Amino acid sequence: MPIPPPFPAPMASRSDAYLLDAVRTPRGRGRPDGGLHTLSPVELGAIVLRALDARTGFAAAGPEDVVFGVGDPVYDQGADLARSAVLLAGMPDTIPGSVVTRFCSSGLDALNLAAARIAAGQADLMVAGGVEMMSLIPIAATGGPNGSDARFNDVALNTPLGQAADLLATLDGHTREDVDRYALESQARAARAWREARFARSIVPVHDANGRLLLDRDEHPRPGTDLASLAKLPPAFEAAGRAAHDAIALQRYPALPGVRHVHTGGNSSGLVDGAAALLVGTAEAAARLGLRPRARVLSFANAATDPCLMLTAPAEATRRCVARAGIALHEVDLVECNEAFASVVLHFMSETGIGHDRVNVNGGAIALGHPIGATGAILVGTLLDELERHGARYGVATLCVGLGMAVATAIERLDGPRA
Amino acid sequence: MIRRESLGDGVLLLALAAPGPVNALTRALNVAFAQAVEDALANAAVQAVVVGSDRDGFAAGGDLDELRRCTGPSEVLDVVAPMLRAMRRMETGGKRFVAALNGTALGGGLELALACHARLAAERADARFGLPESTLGLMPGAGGTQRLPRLVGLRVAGDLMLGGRPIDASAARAAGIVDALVAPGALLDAAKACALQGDALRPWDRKGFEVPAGDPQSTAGRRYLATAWAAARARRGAPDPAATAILSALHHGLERGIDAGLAIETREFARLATSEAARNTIRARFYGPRALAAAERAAPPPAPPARVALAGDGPLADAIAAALLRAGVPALRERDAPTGDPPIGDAGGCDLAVVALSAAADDLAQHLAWAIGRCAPDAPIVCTGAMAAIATLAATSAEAARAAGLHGVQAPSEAVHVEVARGAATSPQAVEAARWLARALGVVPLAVGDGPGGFANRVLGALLAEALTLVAEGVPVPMVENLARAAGFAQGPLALVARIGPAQVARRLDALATAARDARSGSAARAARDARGGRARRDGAGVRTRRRRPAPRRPVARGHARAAGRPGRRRAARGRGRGARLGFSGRARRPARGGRHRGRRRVRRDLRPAARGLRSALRGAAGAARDGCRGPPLPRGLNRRGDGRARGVGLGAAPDAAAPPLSPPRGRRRAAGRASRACRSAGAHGTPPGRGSARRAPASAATRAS
Repeated sequence: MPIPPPFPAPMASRSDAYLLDAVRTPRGRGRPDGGLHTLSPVELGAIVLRALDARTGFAAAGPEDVVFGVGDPVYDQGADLARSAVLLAGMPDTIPGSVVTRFCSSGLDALNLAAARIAAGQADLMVAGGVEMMSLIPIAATGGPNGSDARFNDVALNTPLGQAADLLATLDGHTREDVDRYALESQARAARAWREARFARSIVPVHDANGRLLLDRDEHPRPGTDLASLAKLPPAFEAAGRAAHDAIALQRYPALPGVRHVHTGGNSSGLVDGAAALLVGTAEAAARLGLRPRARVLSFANAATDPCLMLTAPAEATRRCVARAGIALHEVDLVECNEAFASVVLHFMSETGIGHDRVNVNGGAIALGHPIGATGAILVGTLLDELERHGARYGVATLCVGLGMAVATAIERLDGPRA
Repeated sequence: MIRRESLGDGVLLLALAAPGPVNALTRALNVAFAQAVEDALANAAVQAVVVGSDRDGFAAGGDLDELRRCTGPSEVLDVVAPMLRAMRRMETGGKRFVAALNGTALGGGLELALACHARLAAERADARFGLPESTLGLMPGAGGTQRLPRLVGLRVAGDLMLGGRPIDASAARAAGIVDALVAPGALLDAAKACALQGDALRPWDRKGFEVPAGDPQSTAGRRYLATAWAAARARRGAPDPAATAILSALHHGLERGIDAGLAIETREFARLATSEAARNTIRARFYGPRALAAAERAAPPPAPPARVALAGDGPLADAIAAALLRAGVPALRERDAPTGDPPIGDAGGCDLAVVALSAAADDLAQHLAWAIGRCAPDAPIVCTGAMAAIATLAATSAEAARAAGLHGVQAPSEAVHVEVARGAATSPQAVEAARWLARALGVVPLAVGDGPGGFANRVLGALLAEALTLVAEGVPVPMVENLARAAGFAQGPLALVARIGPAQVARRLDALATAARDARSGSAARAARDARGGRARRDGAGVRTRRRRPAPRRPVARGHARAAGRPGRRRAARGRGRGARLGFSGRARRPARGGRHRGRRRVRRDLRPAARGLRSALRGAAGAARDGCRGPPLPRGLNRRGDGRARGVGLGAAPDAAAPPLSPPRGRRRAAGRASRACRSAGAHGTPPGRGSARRAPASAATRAS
């Protein structure tokens, strides 16, 4: 019988929001042969919620809300997937759920929303996470004005994602070799991370209803990648660029003679299925659950820029975020900048001056995959694990978002007995 | 306006019979048609209606004059509302309407046919069907954007409307726009039979109707809309208001029922028709050419000459001779009787002298003398093909009063218009003679004032001079090209320079500079000419393939004067011959120096840094225009400064004043003949750090001359 949660006591107007735990599923290939393809999005959400509950017991404590980020909340991912997952998971029906969507940063926005409610004193325990099954619901299935609304396109220029990445590469002068080298490094780091079991604390293997193991490691990485094999891949966005989008980009950036197409499937993020969940709460809620807070959510910030170029805002979001947290960029120990495309991270690193030794140290979406709605939460979990492994203090997770936005969140690892 | 006739068995024929050879859907016709529809629906004796035409074609479009008189969207609504109401009444009145398309149905005419329950077309080879409003910057405003896609699908309808090109009867049948093709004589009977069969409901007025072949919200539909928008925007170089309006009406209209869709179409149409862009397009594409042709037709035809003395040789002279032959006027060609003065009474009697020079030949005076010698003393002279202005003719001979120029004649003749240039002293007879010759050539003459190269060249010359000056001042070549295209030019000015040839451009700009004392043209001419000059070229292996000719030494002071753009002194000083007095650039015909400089241009020392790279830059620009920047030159970073760290500012907007003007790197270039050199050498994207290339001010003539 479910235990009713204690009546919320009046709170101080500002509390710290603490990260109590993080779990995620391994990422399955976003294709019909992917390991998670036979599950449904609500099942995946239920799996990750049950896993978090098994470790923390949050369901009995009655979180204020379960917020999921979902990039395309339509069809089987539609109609408030979070609440549906709570109910399917068999959790107390006193737990509400809601969905937030901002394309690629939905998972991070879910965490920011949860932390904001806690910091505002309007909740003491929240679950934030994300679910996306790109093998089932294709990217941009949501529709919207971008693309089909001609008048909107005249303003925002409807640049496809890959075209924006190639435009960024052209403006910054990244060669094909630059981006391929970055992709190679991402693959190497991801392979090393799995080899050294750096993700072991957060990964929950996924089983089907009969108990058969479906997936226990990320499926997307290709450990045997080398520069030669990457160089063989054809540019993925050249045809569309030649047809029309290069000429349109030159209308916005007339100093360019053309757009150099350097991005391929090998140096862009992978389409995958995955889910993640984070437990966020006040210190009192943590104590009630018998959990030691692992990190404090310091601050978060948004930024936005030209929708045609689209991918350059993470640096600005990071700058605002750390400024709000009262720390300096050089004090940030680790950064997880989503590898939507190799150029994104190369640009981020050169703009902020944070080197590759601190950015994406365990690989990123190029190797591991980018389940749109879940990635934000996955990055925070990865960041947290690595901060603890190093004993480092400050970490920032940031993602670039379609139509020219970016979101960043800064966390501070709390000292305590290492896991 | 509308002729009514009973076809028997309760079928009424409504034949469009507007005054004039073509049924244009004027407001008067629309109101009359609406009334006829109401009468037919109210008349119990009428079972069904056939809509036909008493003219050769069915109907073609609305009345642009009416549209042009509208000052606001509400007035546009007044124009189209009667026909829109009538169409909806046809569809919902309970009686069947069948269109008998005896011929071409375009624009509003096709939209009227689409509002009928069925369409039968006569099998005519010259019949055309289409919605060409987009070619005039408009969109279909009488239901075409809503009815056509609901009949044949989003893709077919969208392509027809965006492309604007009409299709023939069999293609219309295949697409489903027309239901059947019938022999012309049997059209009315077939239409009558079709009117008596079938019900009086349109598909979209039935329950459960779905747009065939993909609604806008399907993946295929959204992809089509996005692709069509991108193609139109890329082609236009800027937002295309007509394409945007059509796609908007398709997208939003097809998501709703027919009445809401028609309301959306009307809103888009009214907004577009009263927009500045549409007005300008209609004026440029329709009223302008029509007024020109009408004015020319209205003017009394000039009298043909009895005999023509045709001087000059080359393809231009041949084309004129052919035109004279077609016109039945005998011509005496210079090459047939080149030398010696025949007795005046013998071969005289030519009462028109035509001097047709090809571009290379320039001894106008000699040809002129021959032609004058063959003609009566007061016969008019028409000069064509020469760069010389008629005004300069006045300097040499008293025949200026009877000379007119004809610019823009090309052989074979591709031009639609040519310019009849007259100087201050030119007589009307000369102008008439030039007009006659233009008509004989089959082109429309435009009267313009006199000047070197002609009116078109002066206009074009201003554009090219500006572009070349921009590059010489350090603006990146791609920026000039892209911004010109965004401003609406069909191609970039530098690509045009490359296509015409820098030498040719330099000559024309020289002429402009001389005549107009235009410093800008003069400096731009130098930039173009220097671009063609003898820079050392290296092939892929880095081997020089052409030797660089050393520039002649000149005093620094004169170099400064030239750099300041005063062209006249040098030219007037040199070249004592007649060619110089006629204003020709003395350089073209200076006697060749000995040795390896024989017959070639010399390169001046005081080259501007960017101009030196202009040639390869022009090649790059032309190449880029040609093959869309295959593997284009990579800028080493618009944002990179010094330490290689990118600046955050400036990527959010087009590189603007925040980025200092870029000038080209000098000195050593990489040996390989990569296209990247083109843009780099023209200073396209900033200097890579550490290459030791300091930025220079453009006016560094003094330094370079030393």
